[in-house]
Amino acid sequence: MWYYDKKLQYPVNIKKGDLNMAKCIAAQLGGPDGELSASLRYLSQRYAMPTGKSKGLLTDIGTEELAHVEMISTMMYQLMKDATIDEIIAAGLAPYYTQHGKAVYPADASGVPFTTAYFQSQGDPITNIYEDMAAEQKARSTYERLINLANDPDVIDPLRFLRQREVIHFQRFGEALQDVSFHQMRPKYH
Amino acid sequence: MMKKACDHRQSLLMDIQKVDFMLVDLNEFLDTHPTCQEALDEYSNLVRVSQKLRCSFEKQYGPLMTLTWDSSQNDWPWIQNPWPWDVQ
Repeated sequence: MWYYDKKLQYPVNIKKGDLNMAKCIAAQLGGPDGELSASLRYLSQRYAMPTGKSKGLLTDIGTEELAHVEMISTMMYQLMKDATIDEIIAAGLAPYYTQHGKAVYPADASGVPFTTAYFQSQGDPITNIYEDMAAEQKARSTYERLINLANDPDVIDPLRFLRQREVIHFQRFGEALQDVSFHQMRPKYH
Repeated sequence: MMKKACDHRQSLLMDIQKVDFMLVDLNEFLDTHPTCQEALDEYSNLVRVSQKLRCSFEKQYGPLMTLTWDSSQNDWPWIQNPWPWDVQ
């Protein structure tokens, strides 16, 4: 069960459109290491978690990732909304415009639509948590490249916040890995 | 909205965003450190601050969440602009 809170987790107020940046930021909406992939990964995997700590953590991080989907979608919306046809053509976004107009659609930076094939959900919780730790690192690296590409502080600021969350989530998943490993090593009496 | 009211709404919302972010971060920390007394105390303090700020915001600018909204008025301000993706 979820409820909607009518606010962003962190403010996004981009006053100046930038189609090239929108195109690149799409990576973190519908790309392999993006926020949608992260959220669905954790929210699918949580059912295989054996301990209260790991069930809680995957639920809570999976939920926070949905708030990040909303932040990234907001960035895309604000970067694209005032674009002219000439700007769309110049940015190489004519194919995107043909299929979606200026709407926010979950695809990657090259326009490939989002797919759940970007993540796994297995019955082995250790396997899942290793994937989750790798996912956080890959997302952190992607945010660093986006920050390198950006020059508007209104764009850089939320990207820095999102990068920092990847670092924290990696740390938390490391702690969950320890908890689940300890749980699996406990003596079993039959 | 008038500029002054708009600025006040923004600064109150920012205060809520700050406190609620601390709560999200502490929530995840407590998932893996459920007996950390310092974090438990901080969480408890911040929950009260958040409730107070949210209550004050909702009285002036409408609901943040429908679940806890008192609808004993003659309208439904949930549908009022701005929405979170609008440039503020």
